[in-house]
Amino acid sequence: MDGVVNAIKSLSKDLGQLYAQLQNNVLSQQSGPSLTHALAALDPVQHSLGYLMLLEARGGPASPSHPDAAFVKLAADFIRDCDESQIRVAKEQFVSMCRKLKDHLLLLESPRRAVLPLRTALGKLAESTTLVTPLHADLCQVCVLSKCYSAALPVLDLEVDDVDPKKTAMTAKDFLLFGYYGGLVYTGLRDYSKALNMFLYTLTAPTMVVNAITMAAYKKFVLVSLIHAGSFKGLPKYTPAAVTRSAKAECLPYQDLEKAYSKTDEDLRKAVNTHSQAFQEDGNAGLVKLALSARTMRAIQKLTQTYLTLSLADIAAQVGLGSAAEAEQHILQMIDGGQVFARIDEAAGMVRFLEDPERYDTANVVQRIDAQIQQSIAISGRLTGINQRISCDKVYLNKVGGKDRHNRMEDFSDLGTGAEQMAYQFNP
Amino acid sequence: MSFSSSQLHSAIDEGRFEDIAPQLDEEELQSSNPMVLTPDWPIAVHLLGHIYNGRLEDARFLWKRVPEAVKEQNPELAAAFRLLQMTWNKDYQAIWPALGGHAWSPEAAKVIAALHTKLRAHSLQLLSRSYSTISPAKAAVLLGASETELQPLAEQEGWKLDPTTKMFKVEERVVEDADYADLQHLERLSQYMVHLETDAIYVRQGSLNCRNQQQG
Repeated sequence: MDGVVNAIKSLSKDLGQLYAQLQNNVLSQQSGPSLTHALAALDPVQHSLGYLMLLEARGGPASPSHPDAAFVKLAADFIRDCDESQIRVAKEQFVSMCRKLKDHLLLLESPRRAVLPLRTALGKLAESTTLVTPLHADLCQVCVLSKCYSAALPVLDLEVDDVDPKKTAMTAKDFLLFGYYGGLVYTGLRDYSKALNMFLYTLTAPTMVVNAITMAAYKKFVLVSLIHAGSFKGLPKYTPAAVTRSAKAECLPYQDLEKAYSKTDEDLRKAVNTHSQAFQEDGNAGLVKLALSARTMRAIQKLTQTYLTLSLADIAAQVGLGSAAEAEQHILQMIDGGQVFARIDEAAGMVRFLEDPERYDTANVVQRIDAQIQQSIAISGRLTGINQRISCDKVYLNKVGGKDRHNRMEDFSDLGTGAEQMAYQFNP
Repeated sequence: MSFSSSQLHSAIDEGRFEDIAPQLDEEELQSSNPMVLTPDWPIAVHLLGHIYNGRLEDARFLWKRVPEAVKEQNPELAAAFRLLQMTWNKDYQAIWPALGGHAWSPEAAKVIAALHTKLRAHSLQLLSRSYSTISPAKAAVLLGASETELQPLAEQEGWKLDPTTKMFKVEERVVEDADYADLQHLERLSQYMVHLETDAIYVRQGSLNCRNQQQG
């Protein structure tokens, strides 16, 4: 071990060579105490790369069987202090070390303590804040497990959507999990439109084979759509065919529910009762309940399309509420939430439904439009960048160029034979 | 105590109630103690801080994080949780008894007072938006105000009592528009034009390239 420590100390300027040398060393076979001893001899800031490699080995196997509080302390301190340019040399090991920290804390039943280290770690791993790292999924997971949902927002709200495995050691599974757990975070915070967007990341990720994560995301996606929009409009066109196909085969209860949702209360109750077991097992019973309670609101919203004024008693009867007072309370709550525009006339016991008072001519709206345009410009800029990158990519050009040439040859030959055939047909 | 209570005190004393919850959240995350939400932790104030910020979801998750044993020992936390339930369910009538129905500790009482003002203003504004006529009795219940308290509130909102029906008439209000800085707006518009122009050039070049290829 002393040799390794000396090598780390002397080679800290030449990171590439040090990394190659340390990879050849089978560090994981070293005993825990000797690794701890070696770590004590190193400085986590100056020798970040070497420290990381030893620490990763010190964390034990990938899924540890018993917790190691000493490692947790070492790893959390290292993540806080380490030098980011050094750890980016060994991204795989850094991710693996962070995951070991997470696993140990899960064993200690204290996922909360992984939140800050992981948030710091993914900031150090990625050069830009829009890059998705493998640690994004882990951060969202520990936030959900520790019930500190908001702690993931500083990272999620940055609209992370760039993927570059070379820069972050990202795998396909990491990305699927990121969409799934990110969706869970937003669902918990009742920010449903953002939740749907996150689930779509998982659902529409290009793939030939379907992952269990994708199916779980599909189930959540259906339920959150029902809560948020009152209906499920199917998956977007760019969803991989494999996903659409298996969703049909494997998520039958959810499709039944979604179909029954637009029918009568009776149908819906039947669908929920038949599949309650499945919803329970998937951990989605709470979301199903929310979707059911959102129905009253939808029913009242529907009335506004037909009536201009309606008595509270009639509303209660049409929607299926117990009394006029209950209907009044519902409407008051919906006005508060901005879900309906109405005025209650208590003297007459009537409700007058109004148009959306927004005339889209205020400075506020202009500001919102401005913000949207700016965002679109930013996205268009990134798209242009991606386009240019792809059109310079050698592999892509070879593939397309080859195909093009092939196509053109075919075209000509088609024409050729076509003409001949026509000649045959007309001049036998 | 494990948290830096001086910061919390100063936030409450200086009336920066919106800082309470984020500060305590941060502190909770930073703690390396496996059990952080102990009886020492100002959980009730933490919860009220979230309600004050309108972050009911965060308040709910905080409640879920608190160990059962601590929940049972802390009547103030239970009272704060009742308030959360009422605000979560938008049960406007029940908010006021929940606010006043507990002998709050001096610290919590300050947050409660601020919360009372905030919720009262919100309810008043909501009633003005939602009712064209409303009986004084109902307004009093929904605002948690006595008859004598109600009078100035109604005047402030411009509600007029109709002597024949004994109901308040609520006038519709015109929301005033904010001014917009003209120069800044103009500058942004020119930015958009530049963007559209460059984009158009890019697209035109693209189609030219295509045509060249086809001809070639």
